[in-house]
Amino acid sequence: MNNATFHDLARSRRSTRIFKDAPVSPEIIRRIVAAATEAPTACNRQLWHCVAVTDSETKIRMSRLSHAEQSYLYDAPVLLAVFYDCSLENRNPCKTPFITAGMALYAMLMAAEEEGVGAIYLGGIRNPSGIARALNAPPFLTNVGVICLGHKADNPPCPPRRPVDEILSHEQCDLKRPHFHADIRPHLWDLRQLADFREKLIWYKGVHIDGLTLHADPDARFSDKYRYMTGRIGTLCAECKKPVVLDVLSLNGALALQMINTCGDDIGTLYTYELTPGTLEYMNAYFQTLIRRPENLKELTNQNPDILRIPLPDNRADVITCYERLEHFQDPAPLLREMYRVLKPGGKALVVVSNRLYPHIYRYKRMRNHEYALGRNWNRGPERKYEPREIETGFRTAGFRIGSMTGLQPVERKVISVLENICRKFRLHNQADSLSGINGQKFTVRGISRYFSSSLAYELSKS
Amino acid sequence: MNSLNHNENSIAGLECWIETMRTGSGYGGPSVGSQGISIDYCGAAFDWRYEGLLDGYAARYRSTGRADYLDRIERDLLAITSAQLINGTFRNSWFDLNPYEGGMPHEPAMLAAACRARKLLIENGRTVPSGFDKAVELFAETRLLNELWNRLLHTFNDWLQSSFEYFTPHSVAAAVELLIEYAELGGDWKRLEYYITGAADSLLAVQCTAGAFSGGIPLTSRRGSAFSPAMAARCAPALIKTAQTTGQEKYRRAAEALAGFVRRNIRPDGGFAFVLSEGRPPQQFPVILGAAADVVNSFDHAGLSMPDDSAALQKLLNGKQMANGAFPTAVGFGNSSGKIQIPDWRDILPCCGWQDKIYCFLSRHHSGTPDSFSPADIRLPVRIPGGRGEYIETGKNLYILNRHGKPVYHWEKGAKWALVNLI
Repeated sequence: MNNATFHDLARSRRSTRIFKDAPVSPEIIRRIVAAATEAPTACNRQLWHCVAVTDSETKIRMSRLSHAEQSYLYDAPVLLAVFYDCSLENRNPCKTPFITAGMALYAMLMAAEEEGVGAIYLGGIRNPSGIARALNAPPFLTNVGVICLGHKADNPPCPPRRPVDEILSHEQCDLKRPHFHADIRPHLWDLRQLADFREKLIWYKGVHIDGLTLHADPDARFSDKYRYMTGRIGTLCAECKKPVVLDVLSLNGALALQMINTCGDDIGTLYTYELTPGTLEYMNAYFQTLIRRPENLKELTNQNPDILRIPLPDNRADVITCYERLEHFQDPAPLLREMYRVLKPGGKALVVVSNRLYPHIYRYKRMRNHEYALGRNWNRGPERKYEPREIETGFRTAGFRIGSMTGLQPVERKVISVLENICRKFRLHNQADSLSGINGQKFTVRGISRYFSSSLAYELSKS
Repeated sequence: MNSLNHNENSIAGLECWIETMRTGSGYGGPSVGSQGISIDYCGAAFDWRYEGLLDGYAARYRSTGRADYLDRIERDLLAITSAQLINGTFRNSWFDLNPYEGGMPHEPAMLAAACRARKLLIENGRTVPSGFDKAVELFAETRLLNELWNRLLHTFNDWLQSSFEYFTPHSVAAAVELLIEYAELGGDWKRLEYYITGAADSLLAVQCTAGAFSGGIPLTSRRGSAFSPAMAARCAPALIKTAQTTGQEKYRRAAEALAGFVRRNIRPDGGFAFVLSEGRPPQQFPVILGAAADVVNSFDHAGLSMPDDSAALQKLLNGKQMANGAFPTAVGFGNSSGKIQIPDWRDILPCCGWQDKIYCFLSRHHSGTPDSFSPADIRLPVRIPGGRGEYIETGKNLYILNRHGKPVYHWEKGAKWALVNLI
């Protein structure tokens, strides 16, 4: 193989997430695994082992025991479970067994590309030992992931790659980017890290679904919160004639897509503001799976990597939307000031923020343990929650007038759910059904309990 | 044909009301369903509402010979075609979870009905709107077979990245019906048969074979899932059609067992319990009128109709039609004991996605030409969150007022969005 061919292959390789319903021949599988045997290994031990799985029952067992819950595990015609015998090198400080396995995995991914077969490496398996159990692997073999193989049924775009100059230095380590914190507290994050995080992470599940959902979850857009937001935006847009709408950092484009789908003709211009071009590239790729690009959609990117500035003139937008993105900032004032500047006098901004006063159980657990690592929300980035008074002061300081505040997902919903479960436990089904009925209608609140809701939806205006 | 207390004027009234729901290129209005409510977005939606409307128009054309019903079918097929997105899904196709694309079972159910209506257009020398056949092909090939086909369970998922170990039988049934229509439209039968029989077999696999729910098909394939007679009945046409196309009697036997299960669970008032679960009494309410009509339509459609079904439904519908021509959506929302006298606002609010089922039922059971119908405004006391309220519907507006007379909901008919929604 010459140099050009290798680089072409490396450039063209993508993770395939949608496979054709067609088998992969055993010869192709053999040739792909043969590539692993050519990969370098620590101490030349060559202790890999691969198991090719095509049987449906076995796939289901693998999924159940490993809690992988990723669609590709069911969908790919062939699963190649990769093991390495780490028992001989378990004290190696460089973790060479895993590095050896990693090199073999890359060789197999490249070989699959060479064969014209789609592949994706599944590393996010919650319980890899479950894969071993499902396949009756001996205890000394460690599962290092699964490669899903099949003929490609999609052609995903290439996510932005870091330039070589950013990752290569000579003679001495000359890392130009700051340390990226693995911490959800936003005061540790600067704007560059946030931009980098959004640009890279947004691609991690491909472009077929928005970046909020877990693989096995239904579409995040069906959440009540999101549906409330969609409804309010529609109503606000209907109040103006051909409004200019600005969506600020919202939901990886899903909200903008929804606006195009539901009120595209009613909107004059829809601006989507993001921190980096890569994020907008993702949004466009996502849109293209569903719609033809509308002419009234315009993208805006932050120009200065250290300063938030929406590249629009003053008093331009009739409606501004911002869905749970102020959470990224320790100090939301710069973004709020920008939103205020861009909003037309008489225009409206719809801003949803997470409420600190709501009993987010996971958050209390974390605070108690001083555990702030990106974990539960690692795919969302840094987050802070606001007390109503605090964020309202922020709005007023920026110049906004607060029109209304609605509580979304009030705390009594949680209480009612608990009561409902208790009723069910004691077989008081009628009472449980009544409670369930109440809960079904209790999503938005405007009374005192809104201050204890999970999220707060503010409608702001510029007088 | 059964003799019903309803007459042709019931149909005229309903048609009159349905026309007030025209929004843009389709039928809009707020939606109340078993999964949720969608009352902010009131613009055109492309969901299972077309099932009852198109089948109803076809039935009306057959009984009256009036060409305007064919015009409506043509118009609706064109609207459906225009609402398709690049990946084959349709805008605003989730009914009570609108406004989102990719609704199941709504999209295949709508398209299957549209394919049936297409045949009627051709039989009568009408032109099928250009692009319609391609739209069916795009949906069947791209969405159903490429994205939603579950290769492990040999059935259809509800959405692209769904949990692959479970499926929703009535969604699968809608997909099977559509694929059979698609095969007739020119799809490759040999290839499609694999998907059709695979999916139909998945329905048989979850069908209960013994006990109180014998013959029933649960709401989902999860172990211990509840049963809804109304949703289960939607599987009957798919089973019968699979039996007819493949010649395998096991599907017919399954459909007959299913019909037995549904009939055993007719309530004294002619409706059906909302859900039935093992180890607990049935959850009786809400009894959705359109869902009960849908049961009779499904059995009619499957050729399993029996006079009792229509008579029971007649009992349920009798005296319920409102002065504006529509029927209330349900009885007993938020009223699990059935003792509260004032209806919930969700009981009253008529929505296209249920009225169409009643319209289809009435159209199939009446052959005469209606007299003119003069709709009147309605004002009814209702329960709303936080107390009593009033439901007002005129030809142009729909209001729900609180006890102080202030609107907590206002939709101007024809508009895409509600003007006020404080519910």
